[in-house]
Amino acid sequence: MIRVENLTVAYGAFKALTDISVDLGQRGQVHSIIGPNGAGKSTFMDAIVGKRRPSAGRIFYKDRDISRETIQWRRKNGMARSFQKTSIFPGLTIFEQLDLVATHLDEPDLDAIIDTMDLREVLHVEATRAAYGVQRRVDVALGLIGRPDILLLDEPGAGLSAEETVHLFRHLRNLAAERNIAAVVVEHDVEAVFALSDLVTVLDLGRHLATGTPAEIRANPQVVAAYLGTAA
Amino acid sequence: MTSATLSLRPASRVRLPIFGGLALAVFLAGFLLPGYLEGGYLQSMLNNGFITGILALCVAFVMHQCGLVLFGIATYYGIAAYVCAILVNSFGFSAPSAAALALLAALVSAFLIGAIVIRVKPLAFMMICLSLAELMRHLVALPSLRGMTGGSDGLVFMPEGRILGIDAMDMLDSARVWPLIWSATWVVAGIFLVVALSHFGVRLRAIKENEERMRFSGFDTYWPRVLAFAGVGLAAGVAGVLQALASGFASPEMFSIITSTNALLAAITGGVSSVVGPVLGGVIYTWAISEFGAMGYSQLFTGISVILVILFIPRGVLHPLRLLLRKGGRA
Repeated sequence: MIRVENLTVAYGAFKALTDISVDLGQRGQVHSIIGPNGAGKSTFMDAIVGKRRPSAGRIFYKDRDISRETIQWRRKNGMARSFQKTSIFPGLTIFEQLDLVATHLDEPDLDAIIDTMDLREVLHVEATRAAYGVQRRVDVALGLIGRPDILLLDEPGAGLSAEETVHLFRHLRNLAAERNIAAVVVEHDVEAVFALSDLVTVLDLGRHLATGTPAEIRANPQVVAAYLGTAA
Repeated sequence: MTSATLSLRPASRVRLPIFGGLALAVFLAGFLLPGYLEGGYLQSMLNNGFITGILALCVAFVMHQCGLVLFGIATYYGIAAYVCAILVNSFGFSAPSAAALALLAALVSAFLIGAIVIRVKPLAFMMICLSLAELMRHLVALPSLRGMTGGSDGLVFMPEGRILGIDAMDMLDSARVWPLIWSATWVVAGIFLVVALSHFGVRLRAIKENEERMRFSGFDTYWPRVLAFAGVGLAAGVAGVLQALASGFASPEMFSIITSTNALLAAITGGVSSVVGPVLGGVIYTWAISEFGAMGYSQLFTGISVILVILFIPRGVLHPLRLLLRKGGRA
C-alpha cells in the first residue's frame, strides 16, 4: 500500500534517514519497524504521515505520490497514526473525543470501535482521569475511526508492561485481520514484534538494513550484528 | 460551567430544564430592575458592569475554548463605538443602521486580525492584540483625523431612530437603555453557551487540548479558531455599540489598556469556564472600582482584591457557590 523510494530526511547537515526504499502495509498484516535508538524509526514514521517533508525521495500511497500532501489529506484518505507519547484530548471525555473525530470522518460504526477497544465503561470519564492503559486504547481508537486502510503506530507499547504490550499486539493483529487494514508498528519490544508481526523492517543509523519475516530477520547476520546481538 | 458540564453528561441533561426555568425567571425579572434602582448612580454602574461583563465573556470564551489570553479586546469594542459615532455624525446614518454597520466593522476587523494573529504563539498573540488596541487609540486621537474622530477629545454624537423599540435619544437615560443592555448580555452569553456546547465548541477545545492530534485526525485547525476570534470581535462590538449609544460618546480611552485589563480581570474574577461568571465578574469588578475610587484608593484596593481572588479562588467567585450548590444537591 505504501512504497517508499530513496527516502532521505535531513535536519540541516544531519541525515536522519538516508536513501531508504521499502514497501509497507499489506492489508490484514502487521508490519513492524525495529532498530536501535537513533535508527530513525520515528522520523521514518513522521515522513510517511506527512509530519516531516522528505529532503529527497518519494512516498507513494496506493500508487499516488503523496510526498507533498498534507497531514489532513493523508488522514482523510485512509492513513491513520498513533503516537509514541499518548496523544489524546485530556480535557474532553472519552466519548466527546471519539464522537468528534467520528463525525468528522463519517465513521459509520463508532459503537464497534468502542467495543473493540473495550471503552464502553469509561465513555463519560474525562480522558486525563482515565488509567494509562485506557488512554493508550483511546489513542488507538482515535486512529481506527474513519475506517483507515493503514494504521501507523509509533511504539504503542510505550509505558506498558511486557504482558500488556503482548496483549496490545494480539489486539492489533486481530484488528488488522478483522478490519482488513494494514498495521505498521514501530516498537522496541523485540519479543512482541517477532511473536506477532508478519513482516519486520530493520533500520540502523538511518539506513534500511533488512526486511523479511520474523524468522528471516532473526537469521540475518547483519541484523544480529547491528541490533539483535546475542539477545535474539 | 466546567468543561465537564459542557460535555452534557446524563446527569447534566436532567438538570437542564431546572436551570432553563430558573434562567428564564431571572431574565424576565431583570427587566423590573430599573423600578427598584430608580435610575441614577446604581443603574449607571450596573449598565457599565454588564457592558464590562460582555467584554469579559469574550475574553473568557477565548481563554476557555482556545486557550489564549486575549489582552486586546478593546480593539473591537472601540472600533464598533467609533464606527457607530462616525456614521451618525459624518454620514447622517440612523442609530439602527449605524449600529448594524458598526457590528459588521467589528466582525470584519476581528476576522482579518484573527487570520493573522491566530497562527502565532500565545505570548506573541497577547502582545500583538494589546499593541493593536494601543495603535487604534493613537490612530483615532491623531490631529489630522480630528474632523472625523474628534481627536483626543473623543466624539460626541446624537443618534436618531429606534433600536428594539427604544428611541436612540432615550438611551442616554441609564434606566431606559437597561433593557437593551440586559437583553444583549443574555443574547451574547446564550450564543457563547450554545457554541461552547456545540460540535464546533468541542472542536475548538480539542484544538486547544492537542492541535497535532487534531491535524492527524484530519481536522483543519486554523479556520475554526479564526471564526471563533471573529465571533468574539463581533460580541465585543456589541459592547462597544451599547456603550456608545448609552453615553452618546466615543473616546480614544475605549481602546486603552485599561479597558482590556478590566475585561481580563473581570473574567478572572468571575471565572472563565462559565457564561455567568464573567458577567458577574464584570459587575463585581465595576462596583469594586467605583467603591474603591470613592475611598480614593481605587488602584490599590483593586490590585489587592485581584491578588486575593487569584490566590484563594483562582477559578472565580462563582466556583465556591457552584461547589456549595453541588453539595446541597447531593445532601
